Amino acid sequence: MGELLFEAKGVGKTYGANTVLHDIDMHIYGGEVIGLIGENGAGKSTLMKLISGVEKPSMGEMFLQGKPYSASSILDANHQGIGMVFQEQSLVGNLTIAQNIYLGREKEYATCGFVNWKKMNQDAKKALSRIDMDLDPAKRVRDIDFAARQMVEIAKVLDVVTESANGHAIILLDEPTTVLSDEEIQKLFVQVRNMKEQGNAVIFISHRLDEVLEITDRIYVFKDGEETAVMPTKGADVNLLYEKMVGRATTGEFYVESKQTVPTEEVILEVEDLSLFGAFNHVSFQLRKGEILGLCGVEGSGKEDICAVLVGDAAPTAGKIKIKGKECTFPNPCAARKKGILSVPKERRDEGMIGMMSIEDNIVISHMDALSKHSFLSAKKTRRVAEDWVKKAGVKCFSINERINQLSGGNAQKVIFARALESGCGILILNHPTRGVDVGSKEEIYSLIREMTAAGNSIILLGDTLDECIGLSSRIIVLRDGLIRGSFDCPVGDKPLQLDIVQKMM
Amino acid sequence: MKNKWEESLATLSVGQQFAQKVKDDARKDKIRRYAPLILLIIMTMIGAVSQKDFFTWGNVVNIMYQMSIPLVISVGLTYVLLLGSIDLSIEGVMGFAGSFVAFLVVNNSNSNDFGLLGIIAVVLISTLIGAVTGFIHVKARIATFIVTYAVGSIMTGVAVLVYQGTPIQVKDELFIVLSQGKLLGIPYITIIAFLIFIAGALILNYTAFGRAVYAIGDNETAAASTGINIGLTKIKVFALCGCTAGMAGILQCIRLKLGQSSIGLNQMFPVVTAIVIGGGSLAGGKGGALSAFVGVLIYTELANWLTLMGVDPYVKKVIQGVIIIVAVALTINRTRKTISK
Amino acid sequence: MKKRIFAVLMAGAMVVSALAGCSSQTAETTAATEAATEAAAEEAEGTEAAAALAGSDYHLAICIHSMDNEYWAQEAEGAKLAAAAYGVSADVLTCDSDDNKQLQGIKDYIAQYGDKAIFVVDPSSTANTANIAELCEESGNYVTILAHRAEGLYPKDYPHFVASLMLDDIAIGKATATALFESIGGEGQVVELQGLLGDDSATNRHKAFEEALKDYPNIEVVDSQTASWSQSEAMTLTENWLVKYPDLKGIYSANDTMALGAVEALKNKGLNGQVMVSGCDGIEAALNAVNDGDMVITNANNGYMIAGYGASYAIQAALGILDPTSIPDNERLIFCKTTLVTKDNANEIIDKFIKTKDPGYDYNDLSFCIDKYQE
Repeated sequence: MGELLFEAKGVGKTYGANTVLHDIDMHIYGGEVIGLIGENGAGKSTLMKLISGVEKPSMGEMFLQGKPYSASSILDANHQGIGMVFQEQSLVGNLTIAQNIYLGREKEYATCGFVNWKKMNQDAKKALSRIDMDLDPAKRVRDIDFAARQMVEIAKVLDVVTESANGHAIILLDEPTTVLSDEEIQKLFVQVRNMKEQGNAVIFISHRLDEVLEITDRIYVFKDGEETAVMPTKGADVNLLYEKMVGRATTGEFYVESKQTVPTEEVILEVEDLSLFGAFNHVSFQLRKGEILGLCGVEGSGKEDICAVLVGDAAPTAGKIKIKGKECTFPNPCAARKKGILSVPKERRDEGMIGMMSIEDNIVISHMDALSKHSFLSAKKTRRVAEDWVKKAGVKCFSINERINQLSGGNAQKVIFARALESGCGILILNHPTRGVDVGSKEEIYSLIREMTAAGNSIILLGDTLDECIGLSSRIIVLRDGLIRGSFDCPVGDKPLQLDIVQKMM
Repeated sequence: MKNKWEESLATLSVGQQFAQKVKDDARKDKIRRYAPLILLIIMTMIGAVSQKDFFTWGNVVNIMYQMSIPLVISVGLTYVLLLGSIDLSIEGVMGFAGSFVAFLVVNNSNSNDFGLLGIIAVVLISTLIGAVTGFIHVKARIATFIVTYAVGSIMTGVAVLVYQGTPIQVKDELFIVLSQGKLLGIPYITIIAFLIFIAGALILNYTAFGRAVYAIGDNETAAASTGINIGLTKIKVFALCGCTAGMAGILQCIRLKLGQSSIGLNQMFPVVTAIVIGGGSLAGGKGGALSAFVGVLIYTELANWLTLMGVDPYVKKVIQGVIIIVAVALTINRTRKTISK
Repeated sequence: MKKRIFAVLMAGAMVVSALAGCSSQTAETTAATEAATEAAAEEAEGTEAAAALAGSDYHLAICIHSMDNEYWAQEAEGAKLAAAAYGVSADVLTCDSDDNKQLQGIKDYIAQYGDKAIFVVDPSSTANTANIAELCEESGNYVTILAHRAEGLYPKDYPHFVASLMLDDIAIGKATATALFESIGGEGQVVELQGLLGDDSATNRHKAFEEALKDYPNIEVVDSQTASWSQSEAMTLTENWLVKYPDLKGIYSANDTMALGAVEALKNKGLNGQVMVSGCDGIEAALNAVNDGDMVITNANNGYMIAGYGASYAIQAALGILDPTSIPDNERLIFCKTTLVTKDNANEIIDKFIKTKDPGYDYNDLSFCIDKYQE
């Protein structure tokens, strides 16, 4: 192990009232590869953002080679020897590879403002060859495939960082393998080991635990914004890691399991051999009245696409959807709503809330036809409905005329739940219903979900965590690569183990 | 300022800071919302002090009369701008409606005499043109900027075909009564325009359709997820805009008694500007009937006042431009990260 | 949904049929004018048989902006009448004020008819006049250019550029302004409606107004604003003026459209015929307004005159009747006659220009159109 390169002491981050990262301690030594694992929203990406200068910590201190460290921007971090390869690629499609590598640093190649492209291309070639890539630097980024783009991104970061901190650089790789094939992953690993041998430190974030075990020296495990374990990779295995990631044993109380309904035999929704080209194939399942059906799978497994088809956002390429035994097609979400399917979207702020409109409007908007007389809305009715729901859902607000974007995440989500319930739709698709919601509100939302089913609604759930999905659902379908790989009944008291489900997912 | 900020950083928890920020935003919002109204009052006071003829009953009626046609245009345009779209066909549709109605009622070039029936027919055709525009926009997914520009150009051409280069002079008794008649000293045209405006405002504020327009303009993805029929709503909006543009064209023809395509010329952009001055946004979701009213009133008052002041025509253009920029700068929310294009 | 689409289609069909209704109307009017032209042509054949025979294989291109303006339509009619008088066939080429489109139209016409092509051109822009003269000189086709002439462009330098016929905006503006001042007894408050700021004619007519003013010290110009040639803007301005200047006596307008806007504003106050209005251009609605006493004067710019005689110059040169090089240089630079219209002659002008669309000019007598020569 080399010298101590980086140290974090009690670092944390809050957004508004939400704490997403809490009291993190971390040590990074030269010449080691560190694994960073945790479920979605566990705080890995946030920590990376703090280290790489995208955001500033709300608390705690960081040190780089013994000196206090803070970075005002990515570029600033780069100059201090810390570089990050982003999950969502930060390359500009319209520029060439060389232009991308030297984006923001053109000055080094410019005389009187005119850039010497030839020299830049030569240097880019060198930068690429450092990671054994043989690409024409004059090609545009949009003309090369994803794997190559990922490598260009790595080359770019390496180039900046090694230049400013030779042998003492810290490279952050945020899920670099998601778009790579096995062969390409091995190539990447060779490069990672190369960097390590030169004395640099690499932080490696991945969903794929086997990769983490293969490449890293030490592993930090995150859960709910906290650090739950630090361990050497030697001696760790998938099961151990998983236990640390999920942490606390599932408590039935948290998910209000006492109120979990026993689904009736009445089939509300039936999906037969449904396919969407390039997303999922031959998916069949039934949804019963009062049931919560959980869809599990990693990103890209096809679960999101199934929901998109069910709410009318995408047209299936094959298969049938039957509601109460009647075959239906929906060209748009409006048609789906009229047939009784409504979704609570994943990205609340971008897809769910109508930010400039009041709480009242946001609640009644999916049910306006019924609240109108001669096509004029009845102000009395809408106010009463909204006030009822605000009370029932426990939305904390001064008045129903407040704009929804003045509410905190949890409260806004409750409003959107109220909308879904008010809509009169029997089938609700809950896409990550507790994403970005604090623990207290989570519990309230869970009881709301229970009330929904008690009222006879049926739910398709895409859980924010696997834990949540198991806790809430009465049945779970597991997807991988667009196919159903397994199905689990989840009656109260006999819930399946996460491990069993994970094995089907991966 | 900075000290206060640092102090609050030190003493307040993050939760409290958030609450503080929400409160601050709400306060700024309120100021921004009332800014156009305040501007209107200040302008009126300046006008009354600087020109003794400005605040007379005669001139008040005069201003109401002059804002009539922009007001009718603003009704449909408000809906379109709320969507975040634009309707460049308004001028063409107005020209067409004015020319065609002149063609249908008693005039100097043919023996038609459809009277009120002709007016109704033209309103219906204009509505239909709007609906078709919306239909093309929604189904062919062509940006409104392009579709409406094309439709506007088509309608201007059709208007010229209607009157064959020689503007048609209206001789219809109904038109003369409507243009010169008054009720309690207020011209019929103004009363008609205000009624159209009130109808538009009621529909916008008190129907499911109106809510849907706001929702789509603010966040179309979210609006779609709530199960609002986006396509149909948009088509309805353009139909409505075509309808009011048609009515504006007819009113203009009643006012001028001459049916020609230039009836619509330079009518749209002043109203767009007026709506933005009133607090509307070209990006959609902001504004409304009342802010459109205030905006149109500010714009009309300004033109009226500058004429009464006898400002040199060149200088007048400069002053108008400056006041527009100042007015919009007062009402716009500058804390947003992206500048609307 | 299907029902809705059907409804939309039906509605579309309605619009189309409505339009078809109008266009059948237009077809009739066109037929009528053609009949008139033919009649004129027959007449011409009777009187000028020799010339008609000589001209029969020549083709006149009437190059104008577009047909959607009364004045341009008059130009086309006038040139057609002139062509008929010489037995030359005529085509109208429109350019929608686009320089390139106009040049291309002329090139195509030359390509089609070679040295049998003759041109009378109302240029798309002043700048384009030089290009047109060059083009026709190169190919050896005779051309007359109307209404505009680039600085330094003279017919004497181009044997095939027969003549330049222009309108004397200053003289016309001065005449209408003077008539307006006379009608209010040479004293009192007057306002001016200017055309589009920066426009040539607008500038000239404003200058003319100020010149006319010099002879009337008792006229007080209380305001002068631009209505950008627009009837609606002129009406709004007039309404505002009527608030401020209750003693207003006269309104000088740089064109008829704006004058008509002023008239409508006056009508709403019952002041038409009491506040005097002068216009310019001679569009049909304004001629009627003069006849009704709502306007005191307008000037008929008379497209029949300028384009008809312009065409005649080019045709005579092509037929060999006129040798452009033999007439004095300055006599190829002409200010054309126009017609001031007051209540006295309004009826007659309406008859000639609007109803029969035949002013009855003898297009063989070139000197008839000359008001004076340009300086």
